[in-house]
Amino acid sequence: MKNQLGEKNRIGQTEENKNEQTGKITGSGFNIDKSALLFGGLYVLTIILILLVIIEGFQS
Amino acid sequence: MKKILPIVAVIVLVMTIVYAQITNKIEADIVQGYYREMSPQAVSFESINDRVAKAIGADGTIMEYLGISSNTGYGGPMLVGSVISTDGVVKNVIILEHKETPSYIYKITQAGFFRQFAKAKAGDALALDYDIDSVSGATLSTRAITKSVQEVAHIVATEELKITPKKADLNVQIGLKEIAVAALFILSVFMSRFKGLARYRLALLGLSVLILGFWLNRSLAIAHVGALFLGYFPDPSANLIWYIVLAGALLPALFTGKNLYCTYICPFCGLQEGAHLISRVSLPIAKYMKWVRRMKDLLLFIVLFISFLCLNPSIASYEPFGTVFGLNGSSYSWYLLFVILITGFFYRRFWCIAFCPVGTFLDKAAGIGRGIKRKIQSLTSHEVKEAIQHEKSVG
Repeated sequence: MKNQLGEKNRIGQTEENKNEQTGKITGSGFNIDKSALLFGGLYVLTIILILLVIIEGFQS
Repeated sequence: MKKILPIVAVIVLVMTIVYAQITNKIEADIVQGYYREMSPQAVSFESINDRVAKAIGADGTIMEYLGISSNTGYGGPMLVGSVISTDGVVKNVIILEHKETPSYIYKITQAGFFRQFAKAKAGDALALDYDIDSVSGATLSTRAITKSVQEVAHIVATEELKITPKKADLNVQIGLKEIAVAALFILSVFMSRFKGLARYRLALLGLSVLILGFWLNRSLAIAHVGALFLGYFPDPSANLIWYIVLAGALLPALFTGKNLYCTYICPFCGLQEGAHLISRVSLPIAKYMKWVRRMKDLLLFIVLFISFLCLNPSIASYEPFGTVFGLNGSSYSWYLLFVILITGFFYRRFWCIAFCPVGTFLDKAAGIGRGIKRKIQSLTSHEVKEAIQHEKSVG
């Protein structure tokens, strides 16, 4: 079933196709969920802006 | 641990309020300091009461009367100093301390609000929208300033000048604005009761965006909650909408166990729903919800803790409501608003789900409401069971 070289497995799927469907970025040692990356990025950006708004409120 | 943490958080918040109140009293030497700031040429100050005094000159005569008074503006109490001449004319009005957004103070100054007091006399009514005009968009701040001047001036008028001050005939104002806001909340209760009406939820949210958002800019904010716990209640005759919005959001949550405000009324939620309607994209976030909820609780705690510690309900407020509906905000507020609205295209109600402190507070209130409801139901069912058993045993 497992095929790191991109060869078709028994149900006709390559590993790359499978990873595209599940939203995972694979590479040498990496296995990142793209949707988690998008959510995490936006979340962290918003938190940083919230902190900046609070600090700005204090300074004024 | 799960049950202990909220109790610890509440205890810490209560202790913070008590500590801040104890350490925040204006001491006599601070009052004297403000007097010196208002009347630098005076040699001494002779008290009329603990907040009003006569400024005595080098020749021993009364130079002028001074007073400080505190009233609640938009963000919290404003300490205002008033200088009144010996013939009863208001000479100067100074904001000594405030917790308002700086842009409001700038707006008031630019609009020439303080110039109106130049011709005012201690015996005048000195009431907003009676003999003093408010500044549109900064009504609450101007009302707090006017009330402070009035309090000092009327003490000087009655105690020193022996004049009976005029009274303004101002009653609780119930106009179109108050009726429109109350109607929104009544409609939300009806929609939650009758399932057939639920399909009009987006229409009600749209209406709220127009009325509570762009027209009045009076969304429920965490500053309302902070002010409630700190006891900073505005004058109902001047700011009835404050009470309608707070009661309209909080009471249904406590009594029905449902957070109706976020579902049916919140104008910012309406904007996000609008963004979602355009994109129709709703990326899944269910798997992150556990820690998103924890972070939201933490954010609510941090905001309330800072507000209570500084005795300033709006100091840690980071909500973008005023920015979008009042077009009034710092540069970072605009960046935050931009990011939230863009994110709203991908994640439905991203702000509500992940960051809104008011929503978190109302959810907690609804949780308490549900708990009370369950308790009452279990008690009544227990009583019914006991009554049946009693009847059986008698029979």
